[in-house]
Amino acid sequence: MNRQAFVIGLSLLPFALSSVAAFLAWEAAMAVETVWRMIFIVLVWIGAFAGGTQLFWRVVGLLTPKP
Amino acid sequence: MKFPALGISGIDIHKLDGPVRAEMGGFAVLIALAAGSMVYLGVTYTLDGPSVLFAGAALTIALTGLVGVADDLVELSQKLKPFLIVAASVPLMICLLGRSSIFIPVIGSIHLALLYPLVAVPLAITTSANFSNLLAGFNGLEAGCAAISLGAMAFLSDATGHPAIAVLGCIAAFAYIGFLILNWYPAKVFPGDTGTLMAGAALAALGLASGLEFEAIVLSIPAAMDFALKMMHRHPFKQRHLFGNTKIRADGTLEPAGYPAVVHAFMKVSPITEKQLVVSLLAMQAVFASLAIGIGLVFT
Repeated sequence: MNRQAFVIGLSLLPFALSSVAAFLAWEAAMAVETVWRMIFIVLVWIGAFAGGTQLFWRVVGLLTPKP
Repeated sequence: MKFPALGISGIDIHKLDGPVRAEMGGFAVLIALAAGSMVYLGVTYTLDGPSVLFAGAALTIALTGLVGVADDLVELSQKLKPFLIVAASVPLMICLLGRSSIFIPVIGSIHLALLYPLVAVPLAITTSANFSNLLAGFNGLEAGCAAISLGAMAFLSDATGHPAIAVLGCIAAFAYIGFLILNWYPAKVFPGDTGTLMAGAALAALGLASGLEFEAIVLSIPAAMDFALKMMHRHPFKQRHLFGNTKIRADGTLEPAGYPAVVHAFMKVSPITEKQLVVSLLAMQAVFASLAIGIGLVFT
């Protein structure tokens, strides 16, 4: 059950990573027009979320008992 | 007439004896939602903004449910289904024509002009409906996740000054809780695409109608992770065809199929039965519901 709880905690990783990345992208693109800035952070958010999800799956692989 | 006698049935592949169970149980949720919404509108209808928004959101959810019914009965093509769900979102698009900005915590309000009703609304309904259709297939999972998400949205809608939308959320959440009694392990009825599509559409519709779009996104994270894992695989969305389904071992624990998915993550780390898996996934959904409620209460 501890491992299940760890996976639940680990599932917060993609959201946390993507939120931080989107906020940093928003701050970095201050000079850009709002709509383009919004599209930019959506793309950054999706990319960081995909990366975070891959990281989640890799960590799950490390936790998997070897046969 | 019972659904299995009409051929509306499916095999419960996560049981050793593979029993046949009725499909399209989400139809009961659709009827409950329609009846509850009509009673509410009959009692309070005054043609004011909140009542019209309630009616638009309820109609969008019900129409998405009808798309699910069609999918359960005649298996709609993957290309046609999103277009039908976009069509189902038209009532909500009309109701939200006057809205033009989206609120993101920390960043603030972002003005999208007509992109909000014409692009964001149908995109949110279609994406959310299809997401909830992915993280599914285990007794009690879809109905349980829907009840938790919609309950959280109902609470947040009321807390942020949208009581009519909160009532709609309560109607939908209680409809799924009622259905969960029959869908819980060992399931007597499966929700089918009717139940799953409608759950996703309801989450998005409540989020849009009450201006809690970011909180609805947070509630969709488990399903979005499942989508991302399947999308990033070498053969996106062909994995079940290539690797087969989750198998059940003689001791009742589940053996994951050989491709990435959120449900497989839980099965990989330690032996787990179907009931334990669903409890773990509902706990995960509850964590995201708590996070969404926290964000909603702090930032709005």
